[in-house]
Amino acid sequence: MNKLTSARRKIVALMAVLAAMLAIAAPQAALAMKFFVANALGEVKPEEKVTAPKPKPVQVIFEFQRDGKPNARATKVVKAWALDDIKGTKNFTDVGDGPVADGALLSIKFNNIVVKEELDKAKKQAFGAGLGFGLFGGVVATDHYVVTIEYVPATGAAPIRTEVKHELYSKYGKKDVEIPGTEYAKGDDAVKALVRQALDRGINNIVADPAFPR
Amino acid sequence: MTGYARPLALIVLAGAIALLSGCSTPVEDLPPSIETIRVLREQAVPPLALGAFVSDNKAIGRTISVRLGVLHAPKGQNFAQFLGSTFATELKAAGKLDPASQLRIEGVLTESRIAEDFKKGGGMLGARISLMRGGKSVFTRDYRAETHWNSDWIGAIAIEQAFTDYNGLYAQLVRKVLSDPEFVAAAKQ
Repeated sequence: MNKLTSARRKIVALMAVLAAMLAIAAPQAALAMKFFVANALGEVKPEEKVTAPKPKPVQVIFEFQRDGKPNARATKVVKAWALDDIKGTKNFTDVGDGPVADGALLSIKFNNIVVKEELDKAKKQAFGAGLGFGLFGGVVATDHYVVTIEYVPATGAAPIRTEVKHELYSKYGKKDVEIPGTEYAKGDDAVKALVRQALDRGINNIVADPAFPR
Repeated sequence: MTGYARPLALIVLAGAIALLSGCSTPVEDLPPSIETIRVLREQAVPPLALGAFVSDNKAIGRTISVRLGVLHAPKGQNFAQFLGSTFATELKAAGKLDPASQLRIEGVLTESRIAEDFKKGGGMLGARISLMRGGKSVFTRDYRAETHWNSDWIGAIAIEQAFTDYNGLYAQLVRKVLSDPEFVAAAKQ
């Protein structure tokens, strides 16, 4: 559960209760969920890729939020992935959570926005799908993410800011809808891909900004 | 089903749902914020040490409950000490934590609550924060952080939501203190 994000976690929690019912009523019921990362954002294409001319160390401040409020548990899980992704961009020589000599900071706020109407609708559908053992009806839940990245090149310097939006879709049961995303076998793999794509795009935006030190 | 099999199934079902809804989980360390780091650095706040963080009364202990769920302070700590740890995280990230500093933050946890009625929930955290210089108090103020959420009839959802929001109150309260212009001014005197 730790690795699941908010709206999806809520649906999964509901599924878990239904699973307890199903375990008694129909142990053979298929309960597999499918996860899709939205295609709209995609990967940074080679022709779009910008590289820092003089990479230097940076302190990363990462916070996973739900509706703008800090979510410590999700932060703990996703931060490790985020640090690896930032290293992978090769735009910084050293990436860690401690202060660096010139005070360079990279702040990432990964905000999971829960749209109440969508959640209520998904819960109704999930309940129906659960009662049908996943064989009749189904549910597609959408997790919306707004990722705000701020880079402060040195103490006192003006921040460079960018915002990236991304979505994760979770599908359960029989639901004949075309999902505009790429399917991943495991939920964790989908979230990892989503985090990497959002950070690759956001950091590329930051490095491409004319205010980025050259 | 036989005569007793149906009630047994219902008991097992109730137990399974209770297990999903009832759990004990530790409060999690919170990340620092760029806003506070920037205030501390740009205002040139001197490094600070951390003093004692204690509870105002015995009712604020090591655990807090929602329905069958229990959230507990990290091992060996109570919630007041966890507030002190959250200060440490923020100060350390800003390079402003110095155990040898003459300036010391102390705290008394005065309020720690979760209220929830299956539809709406709320969490409150309050603390009296003092800034000491050379053992003498130079600043004291009461701070309070509040959060509200839409709760759910499903325990597993409601408990998760309540604990996450309550946990976040510690970061909110610490950020409130460290970005308070009067606290910053007192630290710089």
